[in-house]
Amino acid sequence: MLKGHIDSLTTADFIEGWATDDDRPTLHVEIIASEDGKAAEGRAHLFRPDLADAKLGLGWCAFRLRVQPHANALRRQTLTLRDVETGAVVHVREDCPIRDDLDLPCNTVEEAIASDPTVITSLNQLRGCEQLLAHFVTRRGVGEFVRAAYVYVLNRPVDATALAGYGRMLRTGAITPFGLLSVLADSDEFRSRPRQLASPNGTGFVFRV
Amino acid sequence: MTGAAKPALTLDIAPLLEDQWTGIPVFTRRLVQALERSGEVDLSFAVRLTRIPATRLWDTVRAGFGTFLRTDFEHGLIAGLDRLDAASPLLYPSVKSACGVCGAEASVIHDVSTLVMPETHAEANVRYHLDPLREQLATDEVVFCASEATRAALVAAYPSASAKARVIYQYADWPEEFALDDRNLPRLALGRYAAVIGTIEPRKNLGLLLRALSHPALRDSDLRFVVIGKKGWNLDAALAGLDPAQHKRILFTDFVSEFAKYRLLRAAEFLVFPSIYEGFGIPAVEAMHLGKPVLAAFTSSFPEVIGEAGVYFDPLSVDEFAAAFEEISNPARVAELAPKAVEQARQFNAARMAAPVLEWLKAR
Amino acid sequence: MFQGGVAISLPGRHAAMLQVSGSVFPPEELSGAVLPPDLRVAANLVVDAAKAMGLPVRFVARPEVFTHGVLSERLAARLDGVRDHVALCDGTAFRPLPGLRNHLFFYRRGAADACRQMRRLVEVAPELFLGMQSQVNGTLAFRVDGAWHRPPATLLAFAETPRITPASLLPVFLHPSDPEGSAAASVSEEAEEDMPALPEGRLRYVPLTEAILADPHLARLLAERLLGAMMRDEAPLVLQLPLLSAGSGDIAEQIAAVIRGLGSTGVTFPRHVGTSARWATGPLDVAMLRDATILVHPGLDFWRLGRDIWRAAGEIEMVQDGPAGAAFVRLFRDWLGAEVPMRLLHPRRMRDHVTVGSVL
Repeated sequence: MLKGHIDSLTTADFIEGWATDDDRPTLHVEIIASEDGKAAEGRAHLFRPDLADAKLGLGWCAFRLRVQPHANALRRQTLTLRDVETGAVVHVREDCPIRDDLDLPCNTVEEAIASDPTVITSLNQLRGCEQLLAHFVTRRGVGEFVRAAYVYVLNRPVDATALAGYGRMLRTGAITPFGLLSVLADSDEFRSRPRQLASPNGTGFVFRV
Repeated sequence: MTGAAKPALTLDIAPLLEDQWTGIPVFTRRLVQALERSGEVDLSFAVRLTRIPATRLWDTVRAGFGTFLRTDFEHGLIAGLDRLDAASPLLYPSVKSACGVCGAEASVIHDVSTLVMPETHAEANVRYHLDPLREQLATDEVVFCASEATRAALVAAYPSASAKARVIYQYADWPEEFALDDRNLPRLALGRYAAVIGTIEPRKNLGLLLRALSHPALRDSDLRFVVIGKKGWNLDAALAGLDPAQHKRILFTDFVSEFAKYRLLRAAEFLVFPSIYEGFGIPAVEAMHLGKPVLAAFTSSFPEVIGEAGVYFDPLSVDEFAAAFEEISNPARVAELAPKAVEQARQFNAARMAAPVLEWLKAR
Repeated sequence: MFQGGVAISLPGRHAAMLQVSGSVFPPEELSGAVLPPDLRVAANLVVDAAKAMGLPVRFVARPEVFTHGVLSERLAARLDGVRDHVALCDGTAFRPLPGLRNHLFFYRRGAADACRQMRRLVEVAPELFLGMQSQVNGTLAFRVDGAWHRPPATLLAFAETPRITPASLLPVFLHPSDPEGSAAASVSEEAEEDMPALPEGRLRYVPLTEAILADPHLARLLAERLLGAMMRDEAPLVLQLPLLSAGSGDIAEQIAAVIRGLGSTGVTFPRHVGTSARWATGPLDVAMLRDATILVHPGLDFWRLGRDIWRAAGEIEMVQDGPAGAAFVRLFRDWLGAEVPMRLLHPRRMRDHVTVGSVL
């Protein structure tokens, strides 16, 4: 089911909101202004904690798109959020509010890497994926989930002991699928060799069945 | 010839069974897509002489990783597995898993570094590539080489393969959405910098760049270097000889996503590619795609891949590197070379990758 | 032989450690480089030969760089008339240069592991060796597609044996159960001070290598001779310590390696020091080796000793076991180019040897 919302324009000339479709991992959206036509385009693939808590699009369906012309010129127009692939209208907004904002550049390599939406910055950003993970377990089995969890977090095959142990814990409900990911991310092994983990919209997110 | 049946080809897609795709798995994915896009070949897919359904292959390509395909294959969970048609030509995108099984076989040689630079490989890797190579070549109807340089090196060691050795050029294909995603994110303001793709392993020759940091041409420049790639265990030892000012000139990202690599390349002024030896050099094509010229070692495949988009230097000469750096770090020179880079990158495309394979099939 | 000059390439693992001015550089730039002794001697052999002919010499750090086209054109321009390339090969790779006459110099016949690697290289890429112009001081022979190939030999020799430091003679303590302790005793200052002069008699000299120690029949023969020197004061026996593939070049390490090799033969050694036996830390003076008996084995990189030593010898004991040994004998005779009495040794046959045809 296709849903979304235009939240606000910003004084840094962005438009923000969210859009998601249960059947498609990431939406390509555009904003059409009633007078100026196409004002923005991009993907709804950013993380927002409130969307994760509301279980919308795994939490990774926000957008922040640069607008042209300036936001001030757009706030008086009717803005339409549209799904580019299908042409479907997702949301229409009049009198869109405008919030204070700055377009701060990334001044360091660390900031550049931190702004990468194809990787997660903490495992907590996957808290909206519980249903997806449970679906994986149902479709492909507990053993397969443990194997995939090891590949995803630790980038290696699971050893037989861990496979048996965690498999048992998952089957008995002693641990949830998300809990297993947390345990692995909290392990000494991961901490000694931390890696970037793919976000749900990135290649390498092995839990999409 | 209207109505003529398309030639059949079975592609071994074993490299796609990897969890993460770099190097040869990415080459395989591009080859699959290039051949499919040509519309001129009836493609089937196989893993270890077992035919797998095309739907599973395309699902895997869409997913971008091979974990499910591998585990399902190993546990016998794929419906529709079959023996491959031995009468159909079989193309391996790398080392063959079996020789002389099909009537017509072909394989791809990515580089001959295990033969000419074995000291840069683990012994097991050298044996994996070299021990079966004679039989592989003998049972190949054609052997595709990743560049003219690789072909020349292969034929120098195996002259009997000369008539069957052809060149197959890979291409870069940044995902379409990257440009749009990049535009909507905060822009990068890291100051002037050149991107360096590679790790600290000896073949990549990062040591030359580190030694050159004390050369006046680099010392007096405001350009920094951003090294994109896994750091490697011996980085600290390699950096030990740098003074604090030199340390500040060179930044290491460690392993980053393809998208982060794209952004960092796009905001760089040019690419530095100092490798001593490469079989092809896909990072150069990736950079040229984004309009970035290349400060390139004059070696092996680089002249044919980078062409006029490069400023070249002897890979062992600090002085030549510094002189080439001085030339390319002039924004006017970059402006001259940028369109050449784009044009050069265009020479590498899906149609060109598919062409030698189609030529082989049509000539049979 | 060489025309227009010589290009010399080094094995990749050692080229990687160099900091030179460029891919093509003059010999002088190697003088400060750290190279293993056997590689340096091999390089010097070729450089000296070229200079003796008045020919220019250039080193090529990375032959693999110059694959074809503009790259080989650039190389040709830099080499400026040089037509010959000598590839110093450690057994792991042979990288000919396009357009040049390529000569293989496998300089590590004294290292058993290098010989194994060389054998494997020829097995996986025999055609690579078909095009070579010659092999320096080598006896490579191989069969492919039913035909035998024996590239002609180029014979290079030092007129005078190169020496970095004068050789010392050390006493022999040989306890197979404690190679390191034995070595320490040999190099101790007291042992050197207490060491008497070698007794009179025709000196027997054995330049050792790892390959020689790996030959079980010859190792047994040497162990028995050493025992004889230690127990019965037979004619003085000097064993020149081998260069080791791995290791720091430390004398004690070399002694320990020899003791392990000889100890594995099962020969029992006394605990006293052998008065008629010595270790030599390097090639002895020609004066000491005049009229000596020198033992030669196919696993000896004989060219590290100059013709001065060989021609001063009274007799050469030549180990010949098998057809490969026969080719080596011919090579050595041609290389020596002078009449020195030679006696063939067949260590394999010297014991009461049993040949088993079949057990079925």
